[in-house]
Amino acid sequence: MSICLEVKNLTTGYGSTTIVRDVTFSIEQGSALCLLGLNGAGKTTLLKAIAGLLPFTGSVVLNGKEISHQNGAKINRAGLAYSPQEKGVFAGLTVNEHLRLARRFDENNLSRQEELLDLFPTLRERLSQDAQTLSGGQRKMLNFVVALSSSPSLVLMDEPTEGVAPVVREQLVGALKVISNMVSVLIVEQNLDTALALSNHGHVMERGRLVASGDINQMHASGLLESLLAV
Amino acid sequence: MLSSILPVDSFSVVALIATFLLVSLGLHFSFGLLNIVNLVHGEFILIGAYTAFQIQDWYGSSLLGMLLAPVVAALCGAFAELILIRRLYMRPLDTLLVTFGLSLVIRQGIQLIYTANPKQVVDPIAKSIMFVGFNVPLWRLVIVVIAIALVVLWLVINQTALGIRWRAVVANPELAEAMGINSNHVRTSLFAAGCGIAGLAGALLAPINTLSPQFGLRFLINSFLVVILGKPGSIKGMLVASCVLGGSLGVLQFHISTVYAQMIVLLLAIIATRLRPLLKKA
Repeated sequence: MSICLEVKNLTTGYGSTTIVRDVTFSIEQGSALCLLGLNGAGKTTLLKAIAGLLPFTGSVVLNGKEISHQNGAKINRAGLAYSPQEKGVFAGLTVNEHLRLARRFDENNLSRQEELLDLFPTLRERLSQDAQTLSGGQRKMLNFVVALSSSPSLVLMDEPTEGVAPVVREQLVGALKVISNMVSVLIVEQNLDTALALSNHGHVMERGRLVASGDINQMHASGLLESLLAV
Repeated sequence: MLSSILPVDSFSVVALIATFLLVSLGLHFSFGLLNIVNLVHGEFILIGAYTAFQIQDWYGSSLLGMLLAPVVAALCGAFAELILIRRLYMRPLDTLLVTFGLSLVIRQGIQLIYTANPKQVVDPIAKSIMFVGFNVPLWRLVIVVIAIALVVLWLVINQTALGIRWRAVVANPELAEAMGINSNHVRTSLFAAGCGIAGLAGALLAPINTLSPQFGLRFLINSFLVVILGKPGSIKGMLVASCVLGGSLGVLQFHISTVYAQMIVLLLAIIATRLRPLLKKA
């Protein structure tokens, strides 16, 4: 299987503070990879750097093309979508305006967006609502649709089920399973059950470094995950 | 006749409200939307006014100058954003210092080129009509119409693809970037648009004022008052604030000296800003 994303020796942080150190990994086309770790391990920082939202040293290659040091907009147009952990909507823009923005005002992307909205019918009923007034779960749903509307080849999802009710979490995990059949996905997750439900393969981060990699089920069975994540 | 019933020249009050709106609209872009404490706003008004004067001097047409003024001011604004301001987002104190310094440079530069002697831009229409008993100078009527047209245009643009992109970047530049929108380009275009509108305001107001290097300064304080009182970023608030402040100043000027009228309006703005959170709660 060909490689979708290849990250080599990536080091990044905020200003003079280094958060992520010398991280190397890759994702195969059409696969889902989980990035696990405690709060402050550097998972979100790593995603932001890959998405072009933070400067870094090292190299990032997407579908065989070097995308290192390009801005976030160019990287997005190259086929990489990023769904942030929080504040994932624009204040003052309606749900419909988010959808128009996400499909780049191109009606050719409408059918894809309709398919995605079928996963979350509640969004159809709220098209004229200010996205900021949506519930936490509905915002996550909108994030999913927005991230996937431009037909990316890889989606970075930062804690996609964090802070939502168990019923909504089940719905989101179900949608994530469908999504991971459509595109390659890199999911940052703290919840072990969600990670186990979504992916077989994963990496564990600790203090900015990858400290374990492999089959999540095996790491879980051996107790390695529990010890690293202090579950 | 209405003029015999009303205690003031109502059209002058309307024209003053339009002036407040016109000079504040540019600041709505830079300060209201982009959060730049833009002390150089008055100098973009100045650039517009002197562009109109220069074109009039070269080609004998102040109207042509007025058409070119927003373009020149927008280009200068884009240049300033690219060279200086782009590096200062999220650093309000640094922005304040830099825009203040830039305003001095532009003002002194204009004084060096044109001297401090007053200049005059010719009123392209220079006629007035009688309307319900009031003498209405046509050029002031043009200013009122353009001010209203610009607000309507802005409201229409807000609903287009361009406007949605602008609003997205203003609300969350990082998320906008992650959705394929180049935030830097959008910020430059927003800042340039604000400067262009300021330049247009300067060119339109030049025929009814004496032009000097201090020309822009007289509009700076009132622009900030309108945007702050109307709540930065709110076009509806800016409309209300223009009516309240422009209207008050227009009425007061008929009864007391301009200096006292301006002082009272400033006091009114301070009280209104202080009371706004209480009124919101109520």
